[in-house]
Amino acid sequence: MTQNHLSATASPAPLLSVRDLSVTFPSEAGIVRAVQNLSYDVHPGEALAIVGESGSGKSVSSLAVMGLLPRSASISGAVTFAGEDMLHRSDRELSALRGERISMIFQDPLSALTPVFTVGDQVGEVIRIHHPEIPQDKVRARTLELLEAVGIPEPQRRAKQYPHEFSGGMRQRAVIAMAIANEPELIIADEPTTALDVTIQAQVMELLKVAQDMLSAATILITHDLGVVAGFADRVLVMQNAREVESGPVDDVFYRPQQDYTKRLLAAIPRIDAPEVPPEDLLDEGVDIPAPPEDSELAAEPITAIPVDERPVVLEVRDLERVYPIVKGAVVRRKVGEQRAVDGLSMTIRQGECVALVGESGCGKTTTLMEIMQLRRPQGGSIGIGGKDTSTLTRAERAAMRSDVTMVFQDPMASLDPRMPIGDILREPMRVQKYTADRMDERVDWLLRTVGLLPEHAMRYPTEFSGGQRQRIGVARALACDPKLIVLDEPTSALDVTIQAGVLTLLQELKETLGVSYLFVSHDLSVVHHISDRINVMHKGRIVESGPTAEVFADPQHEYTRQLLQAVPIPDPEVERTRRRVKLEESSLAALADSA
Amino acid sequence: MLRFTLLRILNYVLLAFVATSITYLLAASLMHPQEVLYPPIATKPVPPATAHAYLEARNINPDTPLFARYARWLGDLLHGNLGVTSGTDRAMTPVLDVLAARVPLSLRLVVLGTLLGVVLGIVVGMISAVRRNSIGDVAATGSSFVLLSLPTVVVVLLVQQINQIVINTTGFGLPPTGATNPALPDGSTEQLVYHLQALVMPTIVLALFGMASYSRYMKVTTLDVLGSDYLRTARAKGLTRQLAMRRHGLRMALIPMGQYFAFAVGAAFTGSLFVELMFNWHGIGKFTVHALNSADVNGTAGVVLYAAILTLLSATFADILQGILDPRIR
Repeated sequence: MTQNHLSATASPAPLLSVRDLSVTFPSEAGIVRAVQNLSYDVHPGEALAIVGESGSGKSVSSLAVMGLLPRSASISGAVTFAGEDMLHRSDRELSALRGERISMIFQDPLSALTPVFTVGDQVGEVIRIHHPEIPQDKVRARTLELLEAVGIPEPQRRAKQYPHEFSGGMRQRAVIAMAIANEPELIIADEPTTALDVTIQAQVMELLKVAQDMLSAATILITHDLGVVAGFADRVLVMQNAREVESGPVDDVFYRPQQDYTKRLLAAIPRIDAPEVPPEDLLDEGVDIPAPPEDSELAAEPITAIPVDERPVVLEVRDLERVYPIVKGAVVRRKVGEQRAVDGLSMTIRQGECVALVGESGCGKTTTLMEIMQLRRPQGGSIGIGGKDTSTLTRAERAAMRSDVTMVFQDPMASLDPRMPIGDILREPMRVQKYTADRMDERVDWLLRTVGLLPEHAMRYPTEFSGGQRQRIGVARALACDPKLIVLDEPTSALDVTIQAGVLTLLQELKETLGVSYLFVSHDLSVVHHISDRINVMHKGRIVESGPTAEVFADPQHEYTRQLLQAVPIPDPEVERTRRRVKLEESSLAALADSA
Repeated sequence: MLRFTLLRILNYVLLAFVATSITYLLAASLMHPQEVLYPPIATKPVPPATAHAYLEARNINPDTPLFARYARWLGDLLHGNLGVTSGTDRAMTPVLDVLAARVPLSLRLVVLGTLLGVVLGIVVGMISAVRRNSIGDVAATGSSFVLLSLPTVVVVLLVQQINQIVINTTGFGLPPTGATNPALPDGSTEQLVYHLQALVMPTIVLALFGMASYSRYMKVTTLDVLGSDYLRTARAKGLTRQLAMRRHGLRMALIPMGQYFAFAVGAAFTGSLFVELMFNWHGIGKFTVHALNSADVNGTAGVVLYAAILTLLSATFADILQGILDPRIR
């Protein structure tokens, strides 16, 4: 098996050649052109990155290569893999190639594995499909080798577990193990780290890189994140609206981009290595924020004039605690331990200030938010909002306070009711607070203009807006009743890098002109870099480091903060090449290659 | 595990008891079994002493307070006695004996009909989801809706008519009604063959209804699975479309079906009421209709006890099935 691969690697012809590929889908609104006249080559051992925003056709083009598009798609052009045509072959012929000579890694590791089979079985299946002659015990031994090679500890035990017992990062490792099992010549990775935390992303990218080196396989990395590309790819192809915009060696694209779109794409990425350059608003949606209605309590001038330390406190959290008991037993439930989700957390936010809470999934960020948003007496410690302790509130006071602390959610698709026109979505919080109809109408106009939309948009439904626009609607809803504090729960992590910059700019402007305060929760340090005044780094339910943003970035004190900073990809090939974040057992992968 | 099972059984016994008790109280307070003693049912007046003895023997005396009757019924229940039949039936057969005689007959029908309906429904549903909008899918979907909107009676008549046409043209066919042939000796091979032949048509009717509703559920769950990421992963590993569907898709689509199974048994029980009546089977279904018609309080409570046990058993079976199919809830 290895011999074949070596001879293929030696040939000078491209391994994969895509010529004039077009893909169209029929839809109710007419024909959708997902990919138009795309051409590229991938040579053996080469890493090509295809970069573009959602809907640019980057994923569809690679699914076309794999023959995995739905039957409704019509494909034209030519795709040749190792000299053989790929588009006009039966499902059976393509199946013989898939998983054996071309393999694929998908975006969402949480749903990419079948939940009812053990991870070991699913990894072993790839070998069994293509090499039924290998005896069962050999397959099992090789499965364990693979799992160990991709950095899954205790492979013996873990192989018998089901996907739901694995974390997101571990599942993606298992998917990578599946992808490299038969030592393919080409690995297609479709947004392999988009669903993962920054630190896990760094580890998975490092693993991919090592796996690629060891197998000397060609790789196509599909992503919207140029930062990830910098350290990985040899060549880059930029796509926009189903077409190629620019392609070339990675250094050329990063240092000497030819096309305007590529330049703007590069400028949109928040850079932790260049604090003086804020991410550029790619779509240039920035607006002058109109003056708030006269009855509004929002106004910045009196606030920004006062030094931060003397401004009134908006949120004060003291020694917050939330402990979940871990119970076992279906009938007689007994406590076997406890999960300290939030463990003595304190922080203060003053008016007109943006405080970031940064940490990985599972560190207790969301629990902290929920405790604050409940406006009740927490399990331990105290929460004060605008100087009032939440444990002393009456029902009426609590209802009134709902308009003081509002929230912008992570997923702009899921957080707006698809059956309500956005005007009604914006009116809803005001209706709860019993605003008059005239006052609501005036406000809806103002809110829409404030977030860069038009007053006439009020009649439309959320589905008629793009992801970025929907998040703006979410921000407008949070602003509706003159909030004292807006809690932003990963407001940009579901958005493309290009759209993310626009939303960040909007939030920044709102803070400066209206004097609202933010609690900005994120797992990504580079995102909060330009918007936050102070940073709290959270780890295992505690705040391990806090301080002014510039200081934390310039001189991180805690080990964990340094890890987080290191994990953030930097969109600069030179810099990325010198950063090797994760020390992977390269020897184990080498042993793997030998044993195959 | 043992502890869990014991508690589960205890829980079920309680549930069955509560369901039966409520039925008894309702039936005893709403039904009028004493009406057989008066015109127009009785042709000549019954002496008061005889009437009193008749009502007391059956524990259906309306002059005894409801809860006193219930207490007596409970006392009997503790001794494993469900009382005796009443109504037009003078025989005073213990309800337990009636159930023992009729349950095997009905169970045969319900179990076979449900299993067949479920299996066929799963196959039809999966095929019509995978081949969506094909002629097969349109036909399966269309006929399912027609079946579901027809009353059971019409379907029974249709099946019987088809059988009659076959008999008229070929001379051979299935016995039109009845579960056993009284002309044949019990236990003989001929009688056994007759039993099997008689089973065919009622089972077809029950299976058709099971299939119609089950194929709908299965189509929906399969369509969910078809667009899933793990199916795409399975194909990216090198499984053909069909193999990926068989190995990964079918297994996932079956998980929600496990829960519907409990309902399917309940539906088949209801279906068996009509089917037994129209095929003249002396099973539980027919007895149920008779007990309700003739104001048989003890008989009604007995039937409900049987139905409750049947439902709880199928619910348990559905839970076990769910546990086997889905490792996430184990």
